[in-house]
Amino acid sequence: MKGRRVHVGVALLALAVIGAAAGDVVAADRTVLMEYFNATW
Amino acid sequence: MRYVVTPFVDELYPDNVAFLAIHLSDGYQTGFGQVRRSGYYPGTMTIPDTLVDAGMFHFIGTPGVPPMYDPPTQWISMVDARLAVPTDVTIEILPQRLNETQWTFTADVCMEPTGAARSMGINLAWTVDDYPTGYPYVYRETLRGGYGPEVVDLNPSECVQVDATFTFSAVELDRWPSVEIVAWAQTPASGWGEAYQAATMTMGLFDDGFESGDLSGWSVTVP
Repeated sequence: MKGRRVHVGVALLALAVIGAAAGDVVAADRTVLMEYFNATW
Repeated sequence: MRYVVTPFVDELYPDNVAFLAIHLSDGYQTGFGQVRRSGYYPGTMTIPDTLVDAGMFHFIGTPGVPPMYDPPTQWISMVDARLAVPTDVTIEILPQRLNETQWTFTADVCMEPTGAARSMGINLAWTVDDYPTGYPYVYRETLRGGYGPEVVDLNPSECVQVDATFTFSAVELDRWPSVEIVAWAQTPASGWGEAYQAATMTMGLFDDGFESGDLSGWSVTVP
């Protein structure tokens, strides 16, 4: 029984790792476009 | 005099602002710049005027506090607000040298797997520093030309490549390390829109001849 608990724990840990990887959506870093309309003076 | 663009692009946002100084009505305007003004800026414009991410924010006048306008507080607040918004688009600029004055630049535009399918207008342009000269101010990031928008349809996990061939003149060749290529993806329709992503690449990277194949200034030393 004790051994089974260990296995369940490992399985839960593995699921947690998989879940974290699947849900870990890292958005792309944004570069902002700036258009500065000007004239010489 | 320290121009307002200098601390902004070099020190505050060296890696995440793509800056186009679009001259109008002063002899240094470009066809591409005129289209940006007329096609994507509805209504009357007051010079200077700043558009952020193709119309997500808009600021009339010189940003900051006179007389030095440093820091440009209004610009900073707009950029910070946009940087806080996640995006699902990535852009990488790939250069190819054709000859002494012509280069083809490819904007490799990709959508992340979790992105939302959409049509986008892809643009490429280039700027140069210290142009024009002969004025009390140092003009930087001056738009010299561009290509686009080329409208593409992109689905999640897909990429599309948009090519633009630019011909550089003595204005660029004399200021080569300061030439910057800018690419961006925005809503395809004219008028106020949204830029989803932008990218920059400095031609100073290719100043050593490695990319152009001109290795005359280099030698091989075996330790």
